[in-house]
Amino acid sequence: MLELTLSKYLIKRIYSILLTIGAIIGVASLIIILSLFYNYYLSSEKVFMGIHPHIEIHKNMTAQDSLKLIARIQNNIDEIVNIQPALYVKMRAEVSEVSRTKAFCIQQDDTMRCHSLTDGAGDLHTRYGFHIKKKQVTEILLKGICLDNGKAVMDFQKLINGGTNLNRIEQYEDTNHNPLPPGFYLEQGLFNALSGFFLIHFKGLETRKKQYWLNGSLDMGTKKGQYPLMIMSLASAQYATNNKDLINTIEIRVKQPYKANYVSQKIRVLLNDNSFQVENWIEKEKASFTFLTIIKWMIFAIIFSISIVAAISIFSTLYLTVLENRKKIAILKALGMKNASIYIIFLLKTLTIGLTGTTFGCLLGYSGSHGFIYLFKESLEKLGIENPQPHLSIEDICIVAALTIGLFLLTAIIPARNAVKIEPIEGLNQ
Amino acid sequence: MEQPIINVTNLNRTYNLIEGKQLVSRQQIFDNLNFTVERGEFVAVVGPSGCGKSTLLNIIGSLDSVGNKNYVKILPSQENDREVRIPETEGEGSVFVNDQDISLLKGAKKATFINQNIGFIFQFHHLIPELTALQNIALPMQIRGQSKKNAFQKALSLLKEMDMEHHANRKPDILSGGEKQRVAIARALINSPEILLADEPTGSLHPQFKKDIIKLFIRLNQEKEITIVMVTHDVDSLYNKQKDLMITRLFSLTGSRVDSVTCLEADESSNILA
Repeated sequence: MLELTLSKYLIKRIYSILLTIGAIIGVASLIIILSLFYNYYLSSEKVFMGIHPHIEIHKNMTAQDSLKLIARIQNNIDEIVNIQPALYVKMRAEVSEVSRTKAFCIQQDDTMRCHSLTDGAGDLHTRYGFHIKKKQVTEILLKGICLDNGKAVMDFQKLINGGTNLNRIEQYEDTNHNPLPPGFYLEQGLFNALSGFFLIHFKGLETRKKQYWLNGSLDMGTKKGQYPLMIMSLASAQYATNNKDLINTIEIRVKQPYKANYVSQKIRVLLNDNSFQVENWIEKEKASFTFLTIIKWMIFAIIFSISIVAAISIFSTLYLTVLENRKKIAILKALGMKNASIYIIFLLKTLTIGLTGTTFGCLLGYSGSHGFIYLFKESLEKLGIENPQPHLSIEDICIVAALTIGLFLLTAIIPARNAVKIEPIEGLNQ
Repeated sequence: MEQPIINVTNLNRTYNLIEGKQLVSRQQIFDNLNFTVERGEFVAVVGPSGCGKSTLLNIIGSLDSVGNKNYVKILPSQENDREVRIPETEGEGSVFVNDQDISLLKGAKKATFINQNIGFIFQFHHLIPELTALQNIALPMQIRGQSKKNAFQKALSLLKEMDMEHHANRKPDILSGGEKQRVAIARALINSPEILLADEPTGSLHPQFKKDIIKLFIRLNQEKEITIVMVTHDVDSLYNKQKDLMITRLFSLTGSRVDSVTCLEADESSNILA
């Protein structure tokens, strides 16, 4: 094609190379930024979605009443996957950071005596002991939950003491009838630590003679004005708070989390009682979503600025090219070249640069986003993003490619029109 | 009776010289100029510098328009008048080339007409420096839509005709003035146009090449029956040793260059030097 050949000669190679490099870098950064942001956005959303039940109904009620209410909601609303009673209570707990050691104890009759308390008689036993390093009494939010076939309403996978079997949250003894600590799940790390051993002493549970130790905690970051959330079985929570028949929350998981607003509205209409306070995860995390939206717009602003700078540089290069080539364009017109062909010469050149830049930019961006995720994996995990991965679909890449090529073609229109407008006689007399 | 291949009737052309929104002067180049060229003629347009030789050639070749163009706003001569728009270049008249009123040609039709009917040769060759001699010559044929292979074949045969086949892959920068002009002539001939318009084709050449180029034009005119209109200052080279005019005729444009609206005479003569 003649226009393609001429486009190669009319636009200086150095301009083409620089524009192509610019396009590659632009597209690659676009993809990397999108990938990182997408990763952050989706992960944050997942976290928000996971740390709350999709819908909560708050009201103090008896266990019997809660079951009636659950049945009523289940019979009338299809979108529900899991609905369970729960108890939220704010209380004080003594939390100690400890190092764990083995202690030698002797059992005398029904009493286990360790260290100084033994008089030397009885069988020798080994028990875990703890050296307390730091101790604090802290306000915590205790939450008692129920499971449905081993599944909780909230989206969490692991108990604090390592188990992946959520049923352990309701297990108090091992197979040898030894007492087990309840399977705590902590939303927020104690002492802001990521790992370590902790002893937690609940005032209400003293009568059961249970001192719970935890081998780790999950640090979700500290939310201002909120307390660490500690989750255990509903029975344990009721026992700890001495409210054996109290339920104050109905937790609901829905099929489509993004329809939580719609479902909560349906529940409000169904209950038709202002004493029930119905709220969903989207409403609860409104501030976080607003923050994410602000970040999203900032990212778009950055991307838009990159695109504008790129567009201006392409435009000025092509504009300069037309000025430099006035005489050659005039010669082509004097030889009978049509305006459309002159237009095509410039559009083809920008298309070639755009396609080359987009192809290599996409490849670089794809590998770059993987590289960045690998490089910053630890930092992203500290931010609460579990197992960060580049979130790039074929559609994303196609959109970036189409936008880039579109932008290139748009910026070529005015210089190409200027080229077409050149009067042969004026160009030749230059 | 066969129509003339070029028929210029009552052609007027005036340049309005404008400085700072003020009309400074008017320079009339043509005043009812009439000029005809019969098919197969070889006509040389002669005259002093600035009398409009190249303009006439450019108008015939559709590189310049017949009518008014380049409108600008100027301040009125009287205080109360509004700004008025006037053309920097005023023109009127009719120009028929190969039975086509060229003032009616626009856009793609104009481009096609130029490509298929007219071969241009300029004083400074106007070759595209990035292309080889062969590519330059093949260009008009490729613009016409012919395949690259056909265009290159024909370009090569034209180069052979000019004894320049060994320069086929050379770029214009390393060719001499005469060689460049022969490449330009080959480029003008590749679409077998009926009319060759040459604007001082020997103007920038070494004297020894001038005769060669004129001979080449005469050969093209006689053997291929191409109508040639050539603007030249170099009238001597159009005569042979016996002082006979080697071309069909001379057409002289004479007149004043200064600010005036005086009539410019078109004087047709076959022996202007006599």
